[in-house]
Amino acid sequence: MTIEVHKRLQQELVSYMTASPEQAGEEEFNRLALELYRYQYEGNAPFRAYCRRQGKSPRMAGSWRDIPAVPIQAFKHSTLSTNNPDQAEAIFMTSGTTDPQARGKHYHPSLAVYDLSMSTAFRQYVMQERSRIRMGILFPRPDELPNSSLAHYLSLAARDFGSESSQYLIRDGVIDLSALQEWISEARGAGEPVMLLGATFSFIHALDAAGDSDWRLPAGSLLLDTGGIKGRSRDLDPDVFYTSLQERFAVDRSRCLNMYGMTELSTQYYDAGNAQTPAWKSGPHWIRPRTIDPLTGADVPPGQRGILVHCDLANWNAVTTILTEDVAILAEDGRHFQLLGRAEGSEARGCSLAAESFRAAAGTAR
Amino acid sequence: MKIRGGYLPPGFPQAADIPLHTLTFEQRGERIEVTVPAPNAVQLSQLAAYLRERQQELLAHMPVQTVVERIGQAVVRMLEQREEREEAARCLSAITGYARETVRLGLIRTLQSFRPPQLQRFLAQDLHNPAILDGFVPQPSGGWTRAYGPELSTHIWSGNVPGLSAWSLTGALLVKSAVLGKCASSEPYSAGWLASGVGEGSKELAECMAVVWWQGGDERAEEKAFGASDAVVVYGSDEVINSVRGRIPAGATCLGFGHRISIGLVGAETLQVRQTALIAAAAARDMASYDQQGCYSPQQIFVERGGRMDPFSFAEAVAHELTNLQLTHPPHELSLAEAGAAANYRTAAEWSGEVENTVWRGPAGGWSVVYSESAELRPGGLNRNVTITAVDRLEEVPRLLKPLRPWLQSCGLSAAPERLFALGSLLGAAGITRICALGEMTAPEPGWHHDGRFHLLDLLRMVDLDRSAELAAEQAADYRD
Repeated sequence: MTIEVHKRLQQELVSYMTASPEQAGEEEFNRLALELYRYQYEGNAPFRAYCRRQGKSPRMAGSWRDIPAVPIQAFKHSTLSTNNPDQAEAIFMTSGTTDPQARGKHYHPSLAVYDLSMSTAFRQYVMQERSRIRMGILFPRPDELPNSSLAHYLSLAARDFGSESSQYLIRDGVIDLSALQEWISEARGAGEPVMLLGATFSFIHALDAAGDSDWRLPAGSLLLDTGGIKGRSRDLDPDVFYTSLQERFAVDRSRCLNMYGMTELSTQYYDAGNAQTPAWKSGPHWIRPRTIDPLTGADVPPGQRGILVHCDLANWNAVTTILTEDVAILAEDGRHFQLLGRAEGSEARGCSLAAESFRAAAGTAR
Repeated sequence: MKIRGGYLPPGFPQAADIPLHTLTFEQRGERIEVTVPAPNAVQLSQLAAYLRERQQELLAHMPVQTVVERIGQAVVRMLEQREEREEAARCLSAITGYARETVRLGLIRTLQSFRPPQLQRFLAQDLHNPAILDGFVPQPSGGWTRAYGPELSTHIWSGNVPGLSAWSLTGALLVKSAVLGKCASSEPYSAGWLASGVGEGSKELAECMAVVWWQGGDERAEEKAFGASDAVVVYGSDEVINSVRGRIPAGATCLGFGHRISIGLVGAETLQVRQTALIAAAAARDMASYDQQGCYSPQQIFVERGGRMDPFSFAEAVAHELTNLQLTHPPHELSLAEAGAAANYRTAAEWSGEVENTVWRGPAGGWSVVYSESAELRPGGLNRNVTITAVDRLEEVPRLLKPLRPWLQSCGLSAAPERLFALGSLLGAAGITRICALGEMTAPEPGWHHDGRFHLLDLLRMVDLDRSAELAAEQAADYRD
């Protein structure tokens, strides 16, 4: 792969991403997706081998839907990078909650496209009319978690959209309750809307630690959580979670946004508040969701449960199209989806031990 | 289709008050509703008290040989009543999605295990002299011993492998225990069907059994059931078993049967040209039967290198046979979570390891065989997904099994006679509790030690009448010198 192709592709990608959604048509999305398919097929040996095992190649693809979806597990086992992974500007890794030995790695030779994707969509979905807002961040800084895509994402939010009085509210990995209280008091003093952002589990930890603190935020404030509920804190029904947020922070559920992102992607999806759950989520014009039957790979019609697949053009170095482990329902428009949770490994119906339970049990034993 | 599940003793006065709960199943477009009696906590207490009373009145003093005859003859009748049996198989196939033929044969094999001679075998397996259940029997060392089963035992059945409940139901009856069973939410029919069949054969036993439903883990209901029982037998995940164990009253027995994993071993000496296809077909049958949902279903098969046919050819032969079985014994319809797990298993196999694994997939994703050259653990994703692993020597397998030790159960073994016992010892030491032929994995023999345990002995309380008591009694005889 020559540097020229690489540069040309990047330029085309950038101009597609910066075009208005109306100008950025389906045809161009398709062309770029297939171009990236060829680029990645040629430059990324594990991906090429995977395609060949499936009997697929770019020559046979007429649509972005024909690109083989790479399961996210593959990011754990293979180096999915079209460019030299040793020269990556950043390597984002999954948390590896189920198996700390195997963390998925996403190589970014440069973060330019990632950052553009993040800020463009964040402006469109979160900031809307505003240019800057006072932010409180319930997550560690990138220098503390250099391999966390979320840490990078939140630092971008603060850099590009946070006012000068924005602030991190986590110290040594735990919520700094006095800093949070102070940040809230200052916000109330200023009387201007603020935004509290962070991992879903951080919000749950905060709610658990709230006691009888008065954390009501000024009118017009926003909350943005991400990452989902399972795993890192007590499980909470999403409805209960958003109602608790609304009561504690005096932010209406319709202003409690949830971002859906993955380490394996370079673009995020957002909902327009969580007055009702599960909320419909959508992303910018350079990412497309699909839902499939995991065994056959066939598309599941809108309105029926399937496993989510994303085609993200901003994933220009790894693979554009990934197969998640999330269950979702796609809307008729093909652009919105409702997330229904993770397709947990199948709990045995009978008395046979499911491999996942074994791994979980063996993991705790270790 | 609507059917009745569960079972209540005919004489239970409050039977009409017990509400019915409906469980709905849908497979291949066919919908079936099973209604089961769902007593509330108060009714459960009444039912438990009723069962205890009837046990004292009707079962506690029944000679064990009579119990054997009553159960055995009822089971023989169930085998003879072909139409009813086929109808039960039809319902069970609709509920679980397992192939009708699999369920039909499975029911026959299960029932065959509980005819009078097989029940005698159960007794002989655990008890030197079954009369010990009827009265004191002399001990060679002096003194006398009598065995008492629980007056009432509660059984928490789980999982959708039909007929599983038969083992603990008959085991409890053999030791003269009344049975309060909770049928599995995923298959609420077979336990009640068995109880009705046994009840039809004996007015006495009919009054000593109940099969009902409550939401598993419902602490109020379970407190009543456990509190009235001398023993609780629970099937389910480790989590469920631990939770139940923590709520059993002091002095009561708890027997837990957790989820298990089973394997296959194929020796190089058995891989002759013609034999290979037969052994592979047997292994494929073990997988297809109940779609690997049984604790005895193989999830990984280790095949030794150096035979006339190599492990790769064996794997190919298994894949070939699974293709046939998909047509003759189609798998049940997978839920999205099951399909996701199966897909994950396949893709993980495709993406991991230095050496490329070969993966065969069935049409519409109906099964998969992962062939791996690296000797490591990779249990299948259930639902006809198996790993076939080439190893240099079968003797190295027990070492690989170490992380699975607490969950191991059966091993389907194909090896020459001179290796059988040596390999058996190695496997036993590694945690395997049953070694059988490939092709027979899903049909344990009557009297097997399920998970290495005793079916009857574990339920019994032994009462010793010491020689000293006998001697002391002599002093009180009015005919003494």
